[in-house]
Amino acid sequence: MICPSCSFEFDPSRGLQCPRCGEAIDCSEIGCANCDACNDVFQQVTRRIRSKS
Amino acid sequence: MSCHETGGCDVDADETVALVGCPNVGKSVVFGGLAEQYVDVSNYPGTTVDTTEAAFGDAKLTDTPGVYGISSFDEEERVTREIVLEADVVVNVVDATQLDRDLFLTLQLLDMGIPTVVALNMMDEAEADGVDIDADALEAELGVPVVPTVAVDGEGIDELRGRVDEARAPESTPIERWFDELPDDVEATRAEKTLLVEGDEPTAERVSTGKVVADGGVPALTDVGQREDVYGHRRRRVEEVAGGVLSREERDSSWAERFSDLMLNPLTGTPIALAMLGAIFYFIGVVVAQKVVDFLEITVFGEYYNPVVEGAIESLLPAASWAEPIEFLLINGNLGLLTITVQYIVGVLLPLVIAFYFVIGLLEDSGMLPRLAVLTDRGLNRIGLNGRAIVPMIVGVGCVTMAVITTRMVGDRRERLISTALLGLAVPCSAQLGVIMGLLAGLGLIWWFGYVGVLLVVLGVAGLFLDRTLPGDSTPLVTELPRMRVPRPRNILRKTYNRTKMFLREAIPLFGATAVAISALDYFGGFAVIQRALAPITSLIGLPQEFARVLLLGLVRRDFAAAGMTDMALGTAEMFVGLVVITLFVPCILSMVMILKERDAKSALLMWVGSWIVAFGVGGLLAVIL
Ligand SMILES: Nc1nc2c(ncn2[C@@H]2O[C@H](COP(=O)(O)OP(=O)(O)OP(=O)(O)O)[C@@H](O)[C@H]2O)c(=O)[nH]1
Ligand SMILES: [Mg+2]
Ligand SMILES: [Zn+2]
Ligand SMILES: [Zn+2]
Repeated sequence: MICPSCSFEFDPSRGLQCPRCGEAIDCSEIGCANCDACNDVFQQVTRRIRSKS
Repeated sequence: MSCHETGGCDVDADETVALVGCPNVGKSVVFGGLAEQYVDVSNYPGTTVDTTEAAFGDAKLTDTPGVYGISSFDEEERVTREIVLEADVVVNVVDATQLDRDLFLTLQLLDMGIPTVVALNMMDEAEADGVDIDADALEAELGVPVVPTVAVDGEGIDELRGRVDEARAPESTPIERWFDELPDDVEATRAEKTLLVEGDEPTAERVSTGKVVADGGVPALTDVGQREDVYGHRRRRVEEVAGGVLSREERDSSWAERFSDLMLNPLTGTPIALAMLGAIFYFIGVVVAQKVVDFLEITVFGEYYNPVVEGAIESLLPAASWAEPIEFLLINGNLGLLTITVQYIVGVLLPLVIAFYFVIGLLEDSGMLPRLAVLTDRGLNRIGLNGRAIVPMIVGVGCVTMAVITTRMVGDRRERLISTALLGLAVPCSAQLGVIMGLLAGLGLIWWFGYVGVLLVVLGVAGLFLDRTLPGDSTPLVTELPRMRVPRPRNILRKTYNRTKMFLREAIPLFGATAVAISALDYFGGFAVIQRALAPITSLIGLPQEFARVLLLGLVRRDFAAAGMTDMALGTAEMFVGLVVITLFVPCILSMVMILKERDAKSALLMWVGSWIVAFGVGGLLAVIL
């Protein structure tokens, strides 16, 4: 996916932190339509819940 | 701003020093401090797009566009990468409040073995945030000089200047473990090797082509890239270093953060934005447009300047018939080169442009502009319109900057395309917007809001139309918001001065040439023909035939057209319709040249014809309603 703050393209499966600028990406901010970090709906939901807390 | 405009070109020097850092960290302010030369400084990322050079002692100092890392993902990065690879010394400007973001670039420079000095800037804001950074510990940790600075106050700049000589890079860094995986015979500097293991394609190509000549085969250097591993490892080192030198003390959120939150929430942000529009209305519309412009036009030009010049020309030129066209050209009552043209430039455009640049400067440096953009985007989305197009307009500070900010703030290609199209359609360059708004404000507060409303709706609808018709999905507006700051008066004044100067440099010759052309048309009767030809559409929008002159001026620039409207006897509603029409009217001649150059004749023509249709369509509609 493309980092919203520095536009660096990285592989989100290793975590949602941009390795270049360090920005921790928040699911609720960018929305699943623009992110391919999750493999299925179940993962989307769990990740969203986790990012809320 | 290119070096042509600043006159800093062709600095001959053996040594080169480059200023490198993330966007909006204060590089350009540091540049101004070190080289004692002003370059554009604004509180949002992407201010510097081109490099600027200046003499720095015996060396050459280069200001670069902000980047998050040395690589080649976009144009700014490519520009900066080239400069870094050629520089003898890099002054790495780091934002002390964003240490864990900015140190990535620092460590990358050190991995590349580039002699570096770190300017730890924004120390004042770090302190205000309750962040304490041990600069000595950071220096020990990095192994290169670290100088704390507050660039806007000039603090630390002298020390920085003195320590540029001490620039160095550690002998070896952890990056080297990846070097083993490069082919043994690769001939590359440490900097190039670093970029190679990070999978930087231009470097791979450059190094491979060197090999072709050497032994006829092209090694597959692009395969050795293991960017994610290298980056991930570096990120962990960044966190270690930052964690070791930084201590944070809990603070309540500052006024700036609280205000920023209020701005971004449509419920509270909208009234704030409206209040600000009202204040701008009062300043530009009432103070400048009514008081200053009226005084200049009626008293200075009407009573003194014009009569004096007319008298002088009449007595200087002989009464012969050959002198008649010259006299007409110089002092005719419509657009005389020495009378009305000067009056428009000095009496109307200049005060409004200065006022507008001043206001824009305030909004820029305080960090309000990007927030207004985000707010408008959210608001328009809520009512189902596409707010994307508004962003470049609100953030725009002149065509060139506008285009850059558009690409910075607007996600992908598709959105960029939409923005460019709408920019051409309906968004005047800043100076033009200033003049138009100034005149509009003279009509009254309600018309001012009406104008903003009409423009927003036109842009929103056009954006929606493009959004529906272009293939692909829309992406949300993601921006990195700069923090709110109290603007520095000195910077705003300098910026206003510089921009006004550039405006005049462009507008004077253009307006002069236009005045000559229109006067010639007028003299030989061509003008009457055009007026008659345009009569159907001028009457469509309920305006007198003389409006054709305004349209002719508008073909060149919208602000000329607006200035041309100042002395037409129009009712309030007519004036409003006229101003909306010229705002939506064809892009200025320089933009057309740009569009022709960047795109093709077909889209340029389409845009040009399209804006006639939109302008008169909306104008006709308004004429019926009002
Ligand atoms: N408080 C504070 N503000 C600063 C300091 N240095 C720069 N600024 C402000 O930071 C903003 C950005 O400064 P610039 O010099 O334009 O930043 P830049 O790094 O050149 O930015 P780009 O060209 O966009 O990459 C401006 O509003 C400056 O006034 C500082 O030490 N303290
Ligand atoms: Mg800059
Ligand atoms: Zn990033
Ligand atoms: Zn997700």
